[in-house]
Amino acid sequence: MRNLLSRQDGGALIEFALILPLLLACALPVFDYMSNIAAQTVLTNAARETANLAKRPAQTLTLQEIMNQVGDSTPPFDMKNNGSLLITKIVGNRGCDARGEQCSGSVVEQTRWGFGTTPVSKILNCLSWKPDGSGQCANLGAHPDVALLSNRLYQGQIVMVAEAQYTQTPLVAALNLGFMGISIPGLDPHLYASAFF
Amino acid sequence: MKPSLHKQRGGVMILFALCLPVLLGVLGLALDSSMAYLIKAKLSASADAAVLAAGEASERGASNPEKERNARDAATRLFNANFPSSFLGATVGLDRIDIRWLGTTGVNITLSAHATYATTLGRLLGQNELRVNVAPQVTKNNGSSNPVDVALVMDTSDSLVSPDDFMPEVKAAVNDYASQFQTATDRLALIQFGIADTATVEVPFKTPGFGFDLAEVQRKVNGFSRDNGGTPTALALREAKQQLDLINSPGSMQYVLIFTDGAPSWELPDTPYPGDRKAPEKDAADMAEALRLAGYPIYAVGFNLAKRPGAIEQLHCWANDQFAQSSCQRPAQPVGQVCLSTDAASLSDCLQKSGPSRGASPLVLTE
Repeated sequence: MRNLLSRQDGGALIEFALILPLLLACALPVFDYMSNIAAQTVLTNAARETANLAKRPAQTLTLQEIMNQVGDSTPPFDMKNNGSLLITKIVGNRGCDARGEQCSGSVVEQTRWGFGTTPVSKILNCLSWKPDGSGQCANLGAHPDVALLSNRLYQGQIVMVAEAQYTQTPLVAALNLGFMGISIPGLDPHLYASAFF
Repeated sequence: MKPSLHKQRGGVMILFALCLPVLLGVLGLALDSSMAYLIKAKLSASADAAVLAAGEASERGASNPEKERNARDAATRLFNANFPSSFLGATVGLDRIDIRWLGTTGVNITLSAHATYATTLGRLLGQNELRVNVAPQVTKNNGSSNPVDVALVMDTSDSLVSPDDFMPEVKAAVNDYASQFQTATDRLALIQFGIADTATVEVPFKTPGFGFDLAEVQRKVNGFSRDNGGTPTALALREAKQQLDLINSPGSMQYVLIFTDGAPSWELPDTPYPGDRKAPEKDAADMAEALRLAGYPIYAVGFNLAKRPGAIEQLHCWANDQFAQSSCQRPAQPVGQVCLSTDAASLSDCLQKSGPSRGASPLVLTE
């Protein structure tokens, strides 16, 4: 009797042991995936608020103050150490038609946050920053067309673009369980969100 | 005992297999709904940006239908720029833009947009798609942007061209500046100076009547060429005052915006200080004071002034702002503002910031 019982217990344990890797293989990536989505959502909102505030004509805050406030409001995500914020100002001033419509935009100003990692912009990457701590770009280089906005602005229209980035290393790298053909692609640790206001 | 043992073997596996679809379904729904939240965040950002752009663009145009078209165009363009068509596989739609005019200058714009997201594992529980809606609106109250009359006084002396040629940037910045005014209600006059004793009214104020011809202003600005030199600031300010005085139904705000890259170097032809080395400076200060006494504040934009001794102090003096030296401060007179720019990039910004505030909160965004 005792012999039989113990054999039964062991059976369940073995079965559980067999299922455990499968459960873990499901649970860990799900955790990664969820925190990835959470960070993306926070970043999207950070970019939205930064751009929205930067755009307001009666500015009561400087761009640095705006980025400080937004950067401080993203817990549990530590923007100051793992993230970056960047504001790019674009003016519609090239290739306008006779009505002053359908202009393309030029980057006229770029300001990076005084904290965080070095931003990598999808709009324009500043060649050198002013050394005075203002966070402003000293050399914008050639002013390339901003593809998403080309032919979409009117003469003099100002668009503020906020870009928020965050690096989040996933718990699980690309995963290959080696059986049943289960493999899970690794998540990109470099998260990015932008907003055009 | 033996049969019962056989029955229980594999029990956990079977139970697990039975529960798996439900587990996956719940898990999937959690994942799918957080995706929906992410999509909603993106959709809200896009809709906010679009409706704000609509609010700004609704000031452009001669008639309400034209303004509405401009507003819709601007909103659609910015919405599309913000929401890439393939964002996380969601399909997005800008449903409608409702524009309601409030009085003569106020407007209320509501934008409705939605996104649908095809669920993944949520299908196991019968949820095939998730839909999110947003409907932000902007309001600008009637009267918050009352018409203004601006005398734009432009220095085109040769220091703008040599040693470095800043003329293209200056033209672009002034064109941008002029295009922010409402062509139907605001008035704009353009006065140019840069030759020894000449200040030219390139574009006079439209009076009687309101509005100005933006194309003409921009054509004149684009036509500016290098002048031989001399900075007869006093004469230009006098022309500005004459222009402002001619208006017989003034806008709610009247002011002078002077753009210069140097200190005054020519006195008035009828200067009260003949033979005085400081006559150009004194004349300019007198004319600025005459403008302020007539109720026209002065906004000054200085360009590359660091190398010109005394020039910055004079600008503050004309504007009568808090940085003016005590000898020229006039507490009872209107206060303007000075913006100094050192490079072409910040010039446009400087111009945009100059001038009185046209209402504390022109566009109020509400969800």
